[in-house]
Amino acid sequence: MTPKLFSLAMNEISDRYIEEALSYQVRAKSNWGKSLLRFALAACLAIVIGFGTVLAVSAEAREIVFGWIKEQYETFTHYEYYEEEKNDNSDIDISALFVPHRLTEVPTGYKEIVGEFDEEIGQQFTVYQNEEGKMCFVSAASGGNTFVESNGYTIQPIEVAGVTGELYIPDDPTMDSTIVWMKENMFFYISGYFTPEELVYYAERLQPVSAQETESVDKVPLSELEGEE
Amino acid sequence: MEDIEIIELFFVRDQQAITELDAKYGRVCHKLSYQILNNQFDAEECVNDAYLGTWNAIPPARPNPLLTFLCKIVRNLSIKRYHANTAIKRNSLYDVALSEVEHDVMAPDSVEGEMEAKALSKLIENFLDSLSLENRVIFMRRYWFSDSYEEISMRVGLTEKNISVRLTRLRKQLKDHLVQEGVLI
Repeated sequence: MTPKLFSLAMNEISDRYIEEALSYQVRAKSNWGKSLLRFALAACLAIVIGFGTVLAVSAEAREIVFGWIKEQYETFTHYEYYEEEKNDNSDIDISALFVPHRLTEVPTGYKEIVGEFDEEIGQQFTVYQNEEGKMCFVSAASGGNTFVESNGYTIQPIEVAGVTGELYIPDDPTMDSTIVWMKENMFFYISGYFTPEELVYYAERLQPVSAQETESVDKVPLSELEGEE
Repeated sequence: MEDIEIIELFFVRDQQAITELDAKYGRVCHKLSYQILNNQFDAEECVNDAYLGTWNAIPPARPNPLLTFLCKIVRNLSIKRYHANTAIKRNSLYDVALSEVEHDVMAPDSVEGEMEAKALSKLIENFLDSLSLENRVIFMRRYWFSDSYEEISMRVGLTEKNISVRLTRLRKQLKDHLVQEGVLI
């Protein structure tokens, strides 16, 4: 089979696959952030939200400006780790700045079912689920991207863990809420079927732990949760 | 303007139809063509040719959805030009996407011989049907629309690394599928 044959075969693909790929803009279920996309058409508002206290931790880091950029699109918010190297010779491993976190108190009735850590970009992702099948997503990251759906949500500033974070309150009370905040150069995210007070309560209980502690629970890969082979 | 109104303009042979079509879908078409050809001029010509093709097809056609119909024309014309320009160094996103498939899916030994694109497309459709919606979209966005990893990640809400891993798995699954179907040995 030649690339040309593959290319021509793709031309013959049924319209329904093309339509599906054209119209797909939101994930079927929550993950790093239930993103929506109208990227090409969306207006971009970029704000550097924070510069890390990591500057005091590493001498190499002083050559780099750290921060998280928030971009508000039409239907979602994009939080992205931003790094600008001022010294071309500096070579810092951003993932090394990652500090594992864990809820010291798991929401009542929920059980941890997924725990993943992407070493390359320093993103930790944990999923809890209760008997009704409702899920709670928790992430802590020192790099990478997170998307939060904002369409149908009211975004409010909120005090959490000693900093000002953002609360995504759904217009439809049957939908899940989200809280995000940035602290010590890390980005945190909790999403679930909780009241704002409960979200803040659990956010306060997302605490740094040793790497060993994060491996103490039997977990399944995220791909299995998503129904992949 | 709604698609149905644009189509009505085509039916009454009003050239405003092309203007409206371009205003509504011009960017999508141009991006699709450019990602295959990596050349603004060629892409522009393909999109204009696609508008002409649409003008000739409607009526009698009354495509629904209009965008899918238009994208197919744009892609077909762009792929034709892509293969016609073999001597030109292209280095487009389509080249990169195709090289991934060539590396992971193509095999030196195959029995497809003079297999027609139509027959292979049926096998690819069977493969797509076996995937989750999300993976199907990732595959199509990469190998039909030639989207970059970044663009796909923004569309489906996964990291670029995750997209890369998924596509590697998908290519392997496609290869296994084609081996199972006797296309590749």
